[in-house]
Amino acid sequence: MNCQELKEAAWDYHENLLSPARQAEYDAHVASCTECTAFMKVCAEVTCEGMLEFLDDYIDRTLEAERRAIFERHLAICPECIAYLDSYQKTRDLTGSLPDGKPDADVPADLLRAILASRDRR
Amino acid sequence: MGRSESRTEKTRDSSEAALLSRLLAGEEDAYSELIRAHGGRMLSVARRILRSDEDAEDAVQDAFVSAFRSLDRFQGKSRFGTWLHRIATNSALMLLRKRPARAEIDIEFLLPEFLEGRHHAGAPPRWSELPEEEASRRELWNLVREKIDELPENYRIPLLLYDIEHLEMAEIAEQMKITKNAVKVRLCRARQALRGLLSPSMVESAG
Repeated sequence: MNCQELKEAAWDYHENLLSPARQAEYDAHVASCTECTAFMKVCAEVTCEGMLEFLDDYIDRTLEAERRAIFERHLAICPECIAYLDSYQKTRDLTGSLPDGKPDADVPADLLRAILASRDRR
Repeated sequence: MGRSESRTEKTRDSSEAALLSRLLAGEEDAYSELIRAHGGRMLSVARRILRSDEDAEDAVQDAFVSAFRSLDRFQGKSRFGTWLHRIATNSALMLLRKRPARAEIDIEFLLPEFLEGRHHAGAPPRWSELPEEEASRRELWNLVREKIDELPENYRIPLLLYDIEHLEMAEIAEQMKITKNAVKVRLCRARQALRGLLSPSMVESAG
């Protein structure tokens, strides 16, 4: 198993979906490769589900430095989270730029009368 | 330019102060003037919350009655517009609470799924870039409005108040009678659910 193959198999490894033989190859590679040992640490830092909790703080840049670094290390190894973050950010861009819709309507005359009448009744 | 803006501000301040004095003196014309100046915007806000013209008018009427009652406590610390927008939002939310609950979708089906190890169960579809062209943008905004309306009220309201009415998180918490953290969580889930609703129209293959 080379480094690229290991990265592709990382989540299956965490889900225990690899065959025993493949898992042994995986462990052997991690034991002999400092880069993949570091990669495994990143995988263990935060799960994809855990990433959801920090989406808004990450986009708003209100995430404290250490968490931001963890978030970014996870993004660097997880194409699924990159795709999710991109679609989430676009959703925010759409709602944040949504115009008010119908322009402010004039107050209908009968409503104006009703409001003034309810004031008189006080 | 700054100086001219500041002059405009001062003019607005003094005209609002004059209107407030006339209102406190009970001048009928002043009441009509206040309603005409701000009622339209209040109706729009109430309509967005209640999704009904008739209910929006009821909410605005309630809002003005409540505003007139507390005029003597309005110190002019905020603008009439800001103050009335807040009261209209509150009236609309009160009316919304009284309305019979409508059938609502379960947003759990719109949130991402995870495997046992909490990794994404499947690759989330890649979204195409947002259109820059005005007509396509407008078409997309209509879709976004339609999908926001499909959200359960507990999620639609924080999204509406934060992203569209631009209220502060603390103010939404106060209006909805929940904690600020609960607003933050609901807002994030609302955006995730909306993302799920929009996704079929936004994936790259859908053009």
